[in-house]
Amino acid sequence: MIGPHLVRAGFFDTLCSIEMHVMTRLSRIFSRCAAVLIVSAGIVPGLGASESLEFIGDQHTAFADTYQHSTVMHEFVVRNDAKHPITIVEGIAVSGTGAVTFDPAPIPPGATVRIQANQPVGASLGATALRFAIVTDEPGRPKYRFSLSGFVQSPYDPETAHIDLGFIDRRENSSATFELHSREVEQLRLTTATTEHQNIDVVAEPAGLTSEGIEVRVLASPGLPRGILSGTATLTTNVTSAPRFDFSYTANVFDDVVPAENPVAFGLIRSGQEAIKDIVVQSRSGAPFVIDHATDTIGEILGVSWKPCDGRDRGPSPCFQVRFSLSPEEERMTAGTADLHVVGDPEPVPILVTSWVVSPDTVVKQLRSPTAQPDKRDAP
Amino acid sequence: MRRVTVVLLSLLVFSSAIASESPAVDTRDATSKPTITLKWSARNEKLVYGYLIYRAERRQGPFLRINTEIIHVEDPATEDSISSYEYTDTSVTTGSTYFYYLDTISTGGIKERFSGVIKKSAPPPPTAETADAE
Repeated sequence: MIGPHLVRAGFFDTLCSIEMHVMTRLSRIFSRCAAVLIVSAGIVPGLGASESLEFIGDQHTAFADTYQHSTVMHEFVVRNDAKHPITIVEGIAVSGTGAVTFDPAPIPPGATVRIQANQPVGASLGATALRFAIVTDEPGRPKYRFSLSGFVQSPYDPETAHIDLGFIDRRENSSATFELHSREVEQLRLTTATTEHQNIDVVAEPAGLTSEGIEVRVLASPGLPRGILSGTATLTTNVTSAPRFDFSYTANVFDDVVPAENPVAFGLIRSGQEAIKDIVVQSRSGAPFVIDHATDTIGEILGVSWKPCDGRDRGPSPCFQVRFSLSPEEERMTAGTADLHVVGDPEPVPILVTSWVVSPDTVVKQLRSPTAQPDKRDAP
Repeated sequence: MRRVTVVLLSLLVFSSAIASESPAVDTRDATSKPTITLKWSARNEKLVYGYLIYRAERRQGPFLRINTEIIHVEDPATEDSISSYEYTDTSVTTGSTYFYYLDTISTGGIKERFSGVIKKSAPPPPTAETADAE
């Protein structure tokens, strides 16, 4: 009975990951995926009387509403219903960085043993399922699976944030802001902030009608590497229930020569068909430049050509039209960098090229996310 | 775009609710401690996990969440079932005015404004005359 259910759970996992690629409302997707995971966990049958280890109490149980970045803990109890001793040899936290602790001593027939599962919920939000398993020394016995499911909330508004600094000049300072609030303290205040990049800093100042929130400013100082930059900033605040708030940031970092698009995303293309994308690459200063050659990490399927925007065959020019042509044969996701080498510039201009190659017969369906707002009758 | 539409809907419903009946009740409990009770109802809560209530002493805030535990959505018998809720705020001071609003929190953990701001006063202290009558 276990086998087919596991296959089905795997199918749902795949479905969720496909949705992740196609849709943009990440939180709703996560919710859908989490809900599916709960269903998946729910359809795994309880271990029947023929099982050697019997869970005393719920094998799939719920945890109380909690906050992001907290740790969920639960103690499961199992009894050895076999006629011989059984030893638990391994505890597995299937979903992430948790731990399963147990007494490694053999469990005599009829005896019980406690298994403690703990799992940091991390940045999960909404309905969440945490799956665990134990492996015993019974020959050929599949893992015993158990789970915790519950709800993870954020005290912040917005619950998640992403800051896109846009196309920035790495020779200058740049910044972008967003407002962060929490209705769990009278005045939200930033305690510490860390980022993944030395030249990215985060500062905050009071914001809102009564200074109840903060305006978070992401500062990029000169010296970042060229190309697409992405990372996570971690804030700690004075909200005691959940002092940690993470947000992601991205930037397109260039000097004088800048592509109008980065990444160059071909999206879904069918194998055997050529796809073409044209972008403009120009200098911020208006100074003419010459593209000497291009290299890439994608391989033979990518062709890169260029000509000045004014229609001439060759430069120098302050503006080039660069053509990317992709002729994929293999069905797979492709991502690589095309480097434009500009005469006199020791560093290339890196442009990310992405595509998702599908078969000519693949049917692409549109997925939509449902609304979460109830109808109101008498709202106070 | 959807978020804007939802907020407008919220305001409209709020207005009509105010016009037709007062959804909040000011009471005193058995020990004469003042309370303010908020009542609301909703349907089509399929993707709603619960409700959060915020309170401020001034209309412009700051608003603070007063229900430490999420008010969970009831299991509706059918999709069209109407669920009714009430929350009694017991941490009010006699004669003081408060401002409240509600958020929904979706099964995905996202909060969304559910109601407009409502003004409510805790019952004033009993006058000497009232006290005599009692």
